[in-house]
Amino acid sequence: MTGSGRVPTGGARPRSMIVPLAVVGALVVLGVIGWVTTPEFITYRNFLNIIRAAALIGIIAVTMTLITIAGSFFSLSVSQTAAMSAIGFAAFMSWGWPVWSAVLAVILLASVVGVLQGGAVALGGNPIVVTLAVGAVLFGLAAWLTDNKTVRTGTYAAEWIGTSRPLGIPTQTWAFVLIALLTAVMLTRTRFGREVTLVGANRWAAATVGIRPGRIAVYVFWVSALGAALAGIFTAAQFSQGRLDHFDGADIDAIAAILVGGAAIQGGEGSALRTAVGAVFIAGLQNLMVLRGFSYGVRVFFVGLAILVSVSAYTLLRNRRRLA
Amino acid sequence: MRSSKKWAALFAVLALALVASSCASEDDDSAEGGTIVAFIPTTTNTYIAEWARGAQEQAAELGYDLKVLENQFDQAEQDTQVQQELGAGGENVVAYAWWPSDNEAGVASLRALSETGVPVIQTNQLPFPGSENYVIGYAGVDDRLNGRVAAELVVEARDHMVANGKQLHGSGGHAIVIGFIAGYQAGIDRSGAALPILARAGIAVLGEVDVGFGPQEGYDGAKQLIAAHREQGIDLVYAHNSSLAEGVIQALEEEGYHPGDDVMVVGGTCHGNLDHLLDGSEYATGLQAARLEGVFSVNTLHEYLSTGELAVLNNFIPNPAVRSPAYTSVNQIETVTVEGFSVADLCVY
Repeated sequence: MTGSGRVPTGGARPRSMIVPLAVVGALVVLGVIGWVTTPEFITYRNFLNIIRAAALIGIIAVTMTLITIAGSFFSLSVSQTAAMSAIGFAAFMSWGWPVWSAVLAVILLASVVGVLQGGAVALGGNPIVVTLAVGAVLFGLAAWLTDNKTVRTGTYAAEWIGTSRPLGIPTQTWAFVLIALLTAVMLTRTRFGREVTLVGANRWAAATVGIRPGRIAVYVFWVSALGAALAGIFTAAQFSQGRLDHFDGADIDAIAAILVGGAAIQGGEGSALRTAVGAVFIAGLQNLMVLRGFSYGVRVFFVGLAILVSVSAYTLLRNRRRLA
Repeated sequence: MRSSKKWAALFAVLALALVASSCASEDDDSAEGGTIVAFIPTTTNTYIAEWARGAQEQAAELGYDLKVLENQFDQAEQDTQVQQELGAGGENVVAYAWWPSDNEAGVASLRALSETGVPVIQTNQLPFPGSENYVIGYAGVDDRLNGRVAAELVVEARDHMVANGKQLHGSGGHAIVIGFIAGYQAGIDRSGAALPILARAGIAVLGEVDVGFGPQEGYDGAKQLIAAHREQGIDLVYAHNSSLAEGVIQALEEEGYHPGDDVMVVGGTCHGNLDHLLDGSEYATGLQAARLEGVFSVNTLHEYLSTGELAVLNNFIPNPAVRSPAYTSVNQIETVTVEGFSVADLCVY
C-alpha cells in the first residue's frame, strides 16, 4: 500500500438498497409460498435443515464472493480444492496425525493453491482460465495419488467436527453463519474490504490511490481457497473419508448462490450476506420442492429459472439506477 | 534471436514428447490378444474405478491390452469419444466394452461401434430395449436382481421389526428411497424392480429422491425426505448403495432416529465402509462387486473371442445378500464369498 492510504468508501451516489431488498424479498416470497402451500416448510426443524443444506455451498460461495467483487469473476477450482482438502485431511488423519495438525496442514495446502492462483491472476492471467487449469491439475493429481479410491481416516477422532451440534445446531451451520458475518464485516468495515470493492469497481482508479490490484487478487483467491478447504474438512470429518467426487458441481452451485445474491459479475458490487441469503434461497427452494414431491427435472428447472430471473432483474435494476 | 532459440527448444521438446508417446503407443499395441477398448463413465467414481481395476488385471492376465475411455457421466462426451476412436481406426482393436452414461441416448454410438464388425459387449446396464442386436451379449450386474434382493431385504427388515414388537407407521410400514442420480439406468432398474415388491408387501413408499452415489448425497437426500415425511413416520429406508446409506444413517441419527432399532436401512450394493453393517445400523446390503463385474466383462469377451460365441447371452454376476451380524446367527460378512473373494475383498475400496 502506498500513498496516503485513504480509500474512498463509495461513490458520490448514495448506496442503493434495491438489490439487497430484492434478495431478501425473494427469500420472503419463498417463505410465504412455502407457508401457504406446505405446512411443514415453516418449522424450526426444517429451517435448520435448510440452513444446514446451504452451509457447505454457502461457505464456499461467501468466500468466493470476494473474488467476484474484486472483478475476477469466479473460481472454477473450488470443488477440486474442497475435494483435495477432504482427501488430504482424511489422509493426514489416517497417518495418525492429531486432528489439529491435519486441519492446519490442509489449510496450509489450500493456502498454497489459493495464493498460486491469485498470483497467476495478478500476473495477468484470466481468472476463469487459471482456475479451470488449476482445478484440472488438482483433480488429476488427487485422482493419481488416491488411485481413485476412497481415502479413509481410519479413526473417528475428527468426527465431532462434522457431526456435533452445539446448542442443537450443526457445526457446519455455525461455521456458515460465522464466516458470512466475518466476511461481511471484513468487506464493509475494513480497509481491505473497501480495497477489494474499489479494485472490482475500477482497478485503474484503485491503482491511482495506491492500491495494488495484484495483491488484492492474491488475497481474495487465498480466502476463497480457505473457504473450500473448510468445506472439505467438514465433509471429511463428517464421513471419516475423502473422495474425489465429494464436491461434484460445487463451483456451479456456489456461483448460483453468488448470482442470486445479486453480486455484479463485472465486480465492484456484492455482499457476503446477500450471497449467504442466495445460498439459503436455493437450498430453501430445493427443500420446498422436495416437500411438495416435485421430480428431479422440475426441481432443476425451477432452480435454473430462479437464477435466470435473479440475474436479469438485478441487471435491469442496476441499469435503471445508472440511468437515473 | 533469443526468441527463435526458445521456439526451437519448445519444438524440440514437443517432438521428443511425440516420439516418446508414439513409442509408448506402439508398446501398448503389442499385446498378443490385441486391444479391448472400454467406454465407461468416470473412474473418479470409486465403484467404476474398481471395475476398471478388475478389468485391467483380468485383461493383462488373458493377454489383452485394455484401453479405457472415460466420460463425466456425459453421453455427449462419450459419443465424441466413440467418433474419435472410430476415426482413429485402431487396427489392433479386437473388442469394445460399452458402459453407457445414458443408456437410451447412447444407442446411436452403440450402433456405430457395432457396425465396425468388432464385437461389442455391454456392461453394467442391460442394453436399452431395441438395441440388443448391437451387442454380442451382456456381462455385469443385474440391477433388476439387485433391486429385487434389496426390496426383499427391506421386507425382511420390516418383518424383523414387527417380530421384535416395533409399532409400524401405517399397516405395512412406511419407507423412503434414496437413489442414484436421475436418469441413471442402474437406478431406474433398481427402483423399478424394488418398488412393486415393496408395494406387494404392503410397504408404502412415501418419497424417493435421486441424489447421487456418495455419503454426502445420501445425507442431503435423507434430510430432505425426513423433513417431508416426519409427520407420517418413517420405518424403512432403501438406499441404492451402501455409500448412500452411510449418509442416510447419519442424517437419521441427527434427526433423532435410531437406525437398527426404530428404523431399518438397507443398502443396494456394498460400497466402501462395512462399519454400519457391522454395528447393525445398516440391516443388510447386496454383494454386487465392482471388481468382479470388470473381471466378468473381460472374461465374457475372451469367451467370445476364443470360441466365436457366448454360451449365455446375459452373463450376470451374482448378488448375494449380506446381513448385519446383529441380526443373524452366522456372521455373513465373514462367511459369504463370491468366486473366492470375501465381502471385505469386494466391498472395501
